[in-house]
Amino acid sequence: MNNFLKKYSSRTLSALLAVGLLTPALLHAAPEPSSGLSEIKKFLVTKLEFMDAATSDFSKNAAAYQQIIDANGGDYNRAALANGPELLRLVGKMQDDYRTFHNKGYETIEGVVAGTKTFVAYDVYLDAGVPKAEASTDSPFSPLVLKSKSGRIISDRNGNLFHYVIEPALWGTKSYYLEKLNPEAAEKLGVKYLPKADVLTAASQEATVKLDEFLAKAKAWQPTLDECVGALIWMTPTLNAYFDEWRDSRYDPVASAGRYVAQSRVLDMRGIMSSLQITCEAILPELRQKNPALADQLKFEYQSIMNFLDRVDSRDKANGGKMSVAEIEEMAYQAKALTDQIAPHLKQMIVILNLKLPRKPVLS
Amino acid sequence: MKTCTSRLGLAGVAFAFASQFAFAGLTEDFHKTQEQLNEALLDAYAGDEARGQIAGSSRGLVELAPDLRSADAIALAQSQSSGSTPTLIGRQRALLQHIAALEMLQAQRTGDVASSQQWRALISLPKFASDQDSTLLLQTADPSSVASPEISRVLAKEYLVWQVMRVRQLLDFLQQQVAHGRATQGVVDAYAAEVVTLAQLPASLVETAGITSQSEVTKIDSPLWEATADPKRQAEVIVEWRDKIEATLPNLLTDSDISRMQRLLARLLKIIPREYENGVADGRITIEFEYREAVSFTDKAQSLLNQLAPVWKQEQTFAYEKYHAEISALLEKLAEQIPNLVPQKEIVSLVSQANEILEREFHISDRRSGDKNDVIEETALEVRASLGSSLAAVEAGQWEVAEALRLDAYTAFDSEIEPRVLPRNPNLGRSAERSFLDGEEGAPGIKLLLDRRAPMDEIQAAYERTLGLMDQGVELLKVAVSPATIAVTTFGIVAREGLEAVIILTALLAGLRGPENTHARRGISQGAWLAVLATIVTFWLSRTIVTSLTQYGEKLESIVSILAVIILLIVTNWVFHKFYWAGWNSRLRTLSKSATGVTSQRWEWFALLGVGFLTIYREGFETALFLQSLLLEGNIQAVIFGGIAGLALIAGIGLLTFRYGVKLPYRKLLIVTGVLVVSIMVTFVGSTVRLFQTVGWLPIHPIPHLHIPNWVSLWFGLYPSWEGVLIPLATLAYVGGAWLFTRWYARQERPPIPQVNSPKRTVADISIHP
Repeated sequence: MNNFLKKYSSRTLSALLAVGLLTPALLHAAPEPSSGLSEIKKFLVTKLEFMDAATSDFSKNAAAYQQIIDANGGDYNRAALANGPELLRLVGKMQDDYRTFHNKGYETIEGVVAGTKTFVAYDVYLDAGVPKAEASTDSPFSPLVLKSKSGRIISDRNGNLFHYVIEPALWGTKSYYLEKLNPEAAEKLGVKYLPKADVLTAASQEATVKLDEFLAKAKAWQPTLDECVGALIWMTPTLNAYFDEWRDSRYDPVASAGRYVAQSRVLDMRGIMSSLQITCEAILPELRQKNPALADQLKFEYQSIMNFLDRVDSRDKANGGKMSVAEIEEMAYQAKALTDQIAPHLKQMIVILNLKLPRKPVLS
Repeated sequence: MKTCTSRLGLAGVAFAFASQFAFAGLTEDFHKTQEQLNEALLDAYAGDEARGQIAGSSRGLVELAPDLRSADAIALAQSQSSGSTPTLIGRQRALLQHIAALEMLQAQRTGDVASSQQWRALISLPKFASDQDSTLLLQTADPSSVASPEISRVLAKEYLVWQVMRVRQLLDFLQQQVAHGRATQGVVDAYAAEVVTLAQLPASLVETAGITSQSEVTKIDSPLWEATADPKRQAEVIVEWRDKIEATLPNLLTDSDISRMQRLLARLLKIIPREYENGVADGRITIEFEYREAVSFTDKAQSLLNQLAPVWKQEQTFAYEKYHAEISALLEKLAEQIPNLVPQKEIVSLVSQANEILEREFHISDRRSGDKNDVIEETALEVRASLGSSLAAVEAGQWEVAEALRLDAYTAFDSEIEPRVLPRNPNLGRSAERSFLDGEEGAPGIKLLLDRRAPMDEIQAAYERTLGLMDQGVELLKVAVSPATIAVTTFGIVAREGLEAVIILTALLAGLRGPENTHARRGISQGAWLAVLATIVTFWLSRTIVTSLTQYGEKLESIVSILAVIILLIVTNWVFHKFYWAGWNSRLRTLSKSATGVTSQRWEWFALLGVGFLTIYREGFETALFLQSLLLEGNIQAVIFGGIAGLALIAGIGLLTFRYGVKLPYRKLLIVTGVLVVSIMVTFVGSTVRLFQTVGWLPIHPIPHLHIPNWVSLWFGLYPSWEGVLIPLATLAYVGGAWLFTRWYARQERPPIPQVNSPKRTVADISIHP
């Protein structure tokens, strides 16, 4: 006990001092809002505005790209020979736009979007929906139907907008969205393919329209405690599945490369978990009033997940991405342990806050 | 003095704040130690032994020691050990858990709720941990009540359950790693050390939990696993070692716990699809609380499966090894699919597979054998006993026990009584169910009040309300199997079928008057008596078959009931359709005439015997099968009574007809019995609908605010749901329509009425056209 007091005496004294100084101020301060739900909404709206700006830029760049192709009579080889550097610059800018509205934008709100019934449809449409032929109850299809200005069908319920259209078009992983250049143009430009202009135009316009709609909905959103806790309950365990995918990708990087072209899996996980961390921290004041221990523990647990992902990322990057089997398995096990640990604590929170176990957001 | 007290109070508050801040530091250190250990293990696996050693050198744990309050926890933190870096890390990861548990109890015993909550939150949980009940034990405004030994026991036992589950999950992981050839010496060292240390449960915790069986885990060493050995041998070594570890784990369940949990598991699996069906339709949640029950029952079933695993491993080794993983995967899939609101058939399929394994391989079933009425009465008694014990637990402040007993009572009610009440009175069935759960406006349910830790008088009122509703349901079920209805139905059927037989026989014999036909009449009579004998054999045989299938309960009743309805439809066709009646009648007469024309005496006798046999056996066969349904629905005395009354009537008619040659008003008799058969059919269709709803083969759509008195349900087969009203009425409409059509058709077909006097009609020409 003596040691305990000795070690923490300075902290205790500071704390007492802080209490002494702050108490009068606290007593006269305006009461804190009962929950930080408005913070979650603010976070979501701010991020969507940020994404909206990036998609507008993406639209402008796509229009400029289209203009060059049109000016060359739709001939990509001629355009490459005449305006090659400009085309490449525009593709680079559009890749940056994508990283902005997707990696720095959408991925940081995905946890909230996919975890709430109000917004889950946007997640399916933009980021998570698979092609209709591959859909199942667990994995719904994206209803996206994308047509070019001329009426050419670019995608008919063939996957979501981000990972099945924009990303493969900009990074050249799907030949359907690309124009093959002749040897002369390819040699001059240093690339064999260029993205089809009508695909980028249609996709950028669709992204702008959809995000405008999404933003309007987010602004009108009245978040509830049930809904936000639901996002935590349903989305936190997904870390397990993402981590299993990560583990498989370590064993067979080629077979499981899939959609992770523009960013790594770990960063994708980090994005989702960061939005859940923000959501959790916004709810914790409510919980702290009733069970400060559990509130602290949940705060720590989300922070532990973030720390863990950072460590995985740095290990991922170190030694040229080489890892032993034991390391891979241990990391997957630790990820599982983190989510196994947090799930019952979230359920405790539901009991303590007298909330209803929220339903999983699914598209009905 | 007053000032002094208030100063002391302020100082107390300030200390509480201060210790909160101080504890935050300790929590931080604890988490940091955990993270360092995890990183160190990865470093060790990566071959960076030096970094691994620094973090894994138990410095973090030793540094925690001065801040601990429990002597046992301090001793653990300061304990020294040797081994490879992974071994040390594995051991420390486990020790952290024991330390947190010991500190949690130390804080709880001194009434320090906040610290106890903090330490409890730090403990690593297994997958599917169930911890909400104890959370509420510490979630109290009265710190003095937290210090009770009962709460110590519950918390300690909860910890043991968690860690025993974790030991098994770690063992599973290790076994998988070895089986897939992914294990290295480091992996085996780390996990073996963690498992062994976790399994060495601190004696004081075991004692506090009230567990009598002491483990002797100190004797268990890490497995003698060699990285260079043959993979098969490597796997065998781990399996053998696991068995040793399993043998040392404390048995946390008594025999009665095991049997209760097994029964509960089977019941939950039975209830989950029903709750899901009630709560979800076409991919939408229709009734929120039913859906929530499906989710929470699935969680509970998973937790029960985990807790029962060690028992099965020891007592049902073969089944455990072969099927436990399969049933576990099925429940995991179920937990995934319910929130996806998948079609009902997918849920039913998963649960059926799990149930089949439980029944076939583990011999666990919620099914009760015996008479249905006994089952209802026995279940009602069980519900009453469980709720009584639950209320007593509330009085003793044992909220967790109270909730477990409430769940027992609820699952018993939900599996045996509620499905039978619902088709008869959906509103009562739902009210009773809700009263076990969240209740209704102005009448909160038991679960809601237990969760709220409501005052005793409110809780007592809820228990009484629930029992009252259950009793109403049981009364309804008793009335619904009224012997009078059964007896009258039996009488109606026996009288009708018997009358048909007598009339046809009379018609046949009418054509065989005179001494020259004595032989023919005798042959037919002998055939008729043989048919009576065959009917008795048929009755016995079908009874034997049906009795052997009684374990299928209402499902069997439903199938037999459908057969009975088919028989009734045939009988009503006879009532109204000239074709069947006249056709069969004339066929028999043709047969008898042909028989008398046969030259061989032996063949003639056989033919006449056959005619007599067919005349009676056709009616006897129908009656024998139909009575099976009544026997299942009601009781045997009522069937015997109704049967004897019917037979007596037929015997009287037969005597008057055959012995004294009295010409009875057959047509009128047939009309009366025909109407009786139609009313029986409508009632029977109603009760078949009810049975189908009971077993879940038909949905229940209650008609709001409709109250149908019991006697109406009994005599007219109408029950207060859309299905229960519309289907019997549709049947009546069908029969009525068929009768009208027959009349209209007969008028269209009827030739012009001859002007000459038609010959006098005999009984042989009877056809019923009322």
